[in-house]
Amino acid sequence: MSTASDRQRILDGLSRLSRVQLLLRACLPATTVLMLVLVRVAGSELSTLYAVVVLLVSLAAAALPDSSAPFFLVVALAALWVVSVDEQSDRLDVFVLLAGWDLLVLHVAATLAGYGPPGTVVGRVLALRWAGRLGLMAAAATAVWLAARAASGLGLPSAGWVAAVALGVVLAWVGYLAVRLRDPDTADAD
Amino acid sequence: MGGVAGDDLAGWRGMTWRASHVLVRSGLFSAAAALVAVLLGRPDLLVFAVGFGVHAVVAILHRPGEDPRASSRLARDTVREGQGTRVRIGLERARGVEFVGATLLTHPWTGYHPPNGVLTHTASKSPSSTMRLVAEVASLRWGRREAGDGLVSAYSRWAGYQWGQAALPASPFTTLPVPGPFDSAAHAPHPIGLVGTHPAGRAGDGSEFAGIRPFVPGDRLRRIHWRVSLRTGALHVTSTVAEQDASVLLLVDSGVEIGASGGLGGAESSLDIAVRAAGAVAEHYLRNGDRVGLRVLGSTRHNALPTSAGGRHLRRLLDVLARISPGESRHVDAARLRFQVPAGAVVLVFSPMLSDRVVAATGLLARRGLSVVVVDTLPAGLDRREDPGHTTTERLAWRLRSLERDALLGRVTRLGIPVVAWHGPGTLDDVLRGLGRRAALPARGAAVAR
Repeated sequence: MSTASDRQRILDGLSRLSRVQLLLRACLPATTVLMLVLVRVAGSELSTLYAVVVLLVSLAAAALPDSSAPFFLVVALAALWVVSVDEQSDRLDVFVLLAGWDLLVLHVAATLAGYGPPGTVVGRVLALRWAGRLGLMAAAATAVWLAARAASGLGLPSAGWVAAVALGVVLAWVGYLAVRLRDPDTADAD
Repeated sequence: MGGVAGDDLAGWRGMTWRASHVLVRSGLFSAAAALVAVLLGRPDLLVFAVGFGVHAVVAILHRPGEDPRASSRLARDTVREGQGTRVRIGLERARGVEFVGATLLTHPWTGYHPPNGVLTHTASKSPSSTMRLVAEVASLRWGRREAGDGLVSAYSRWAGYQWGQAALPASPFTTLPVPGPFDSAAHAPHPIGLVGTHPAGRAGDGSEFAGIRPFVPGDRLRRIHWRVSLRTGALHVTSTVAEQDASVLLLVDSGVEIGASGGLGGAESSLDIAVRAAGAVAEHYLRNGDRVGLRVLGSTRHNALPTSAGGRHLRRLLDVLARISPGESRHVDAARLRFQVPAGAVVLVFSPMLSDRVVAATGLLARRGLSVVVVDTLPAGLDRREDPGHTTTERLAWRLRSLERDALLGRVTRLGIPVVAWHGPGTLDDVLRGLGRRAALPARGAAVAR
């Protein structure tokens, strides 16, 4: 629940933002705007109301990068993509890759901004390390995009067993995450 | 100096690594996006999911094996006003830690470097079992201060797991007052000690000339004044005044504090002036070999220090001054006070003279035949009687308070106690010389007897 003291704390924190923090937090609305542009270019009409809501979520994520707000922002942007990019459009054009990179930049910016309180200065060593990690994640996304495009270009017939294996892999990943992400105290109690 | 260990943290006990928001975000999003991608046949969502999935997998693989332990420590437990010390925050068993951050709470009259009290450290690629954060803390005002308290947290590699935020306990340290500049050319009026620098009221071995008198057996030959001896035809010697040390009792009124303190170099409250002036006077007399005692009126603990001499005593005295807490106890019963002050001592009362009880205590000491001087510590420029920036009610209140204070000062003056405002070097010269002249006069009782 938001109280006056919470608001005061958040505003106090924002007033003490370091330059690096300001830059990182500004990345969240900026990448959100870029994603909205990509959705508009790659997809169909964009709901103004939905865009405003997403922008508000991005501002919340910028204010509280160490909370769940960035997660909801990423989910909202992905959902917007799914809804807006209809079946007629090419689902694997370059905008998909750009949108994927955009989400990753948003994710890494939120990660770096969430390392500490607003006055935290992200050092050069950490920033460079995360730049490398962002490159690795973007490379993985690019590899999958290229593979998907290649498979799409081959015009392979859809097979039920492939979908079943993929679903199995995903469900295994979900199950593994469910175990790993549980609160350790709760896990011990079990 | 040994340093002050903050306790091992109460906050970290039972604290363990837990999945961070970053891991939850990357894990859940990758799973959800991949699931939707498979179920709806949307390869574009798979492109979105895979980067997050890579992050989640690598972060999980870097889960640290053991929980860290944090501690905080101050490099020194005593500093002077304006001086600083270091807060060292250590994180043991930090082999899996990539980033550690601490936020230190700021307290009044303390300042950190970095100013916001936020410290961070990123581990190098080769794992280390210990990580250290260091901040500098400066104390800007005398007294008991605290530093080093705050929150500390750590992140594993790829920010997948977070430890903390754990509370860091405060480490107390003492800030000794910086004595103001002070010097006095006047001697103590009643030096009755053994060996010192103040000319006593009797003849003896010393350096100050007293007179020339006829030689008596026992006089040293080097004291013979040959010129007078040749002229008069009888041996004469130069006599000197004995030099003795004096006892000084410092009486500091901490019952009330007037004015806002801006710390070292800023505005001074009445208690700032009293404490720094008392420290300066103590330093001056102790360096001259005199004995100095201290009594704090209005303090419930550590309120007395018997008269003694030496450098260690100065340190003890400054320590008692640093522990003064304003307004701790305003109910001083003058009739019950036992000052344990030696005969012949000079009593210096540091007070803004706003309390009837301090006046009563001062009168009590004067009636015992001691030389008492009141050092007025009311800050200059605090008078709001004519200040147009204040309301009529405030100005009226100041006027009433000033009238009361004038009445109290009048009572003190009628008792023959001099009152001087503190202005640093030379503050006490005139009054001590006056008291010395008064002491040299024959006592009224002796005159009657003659």
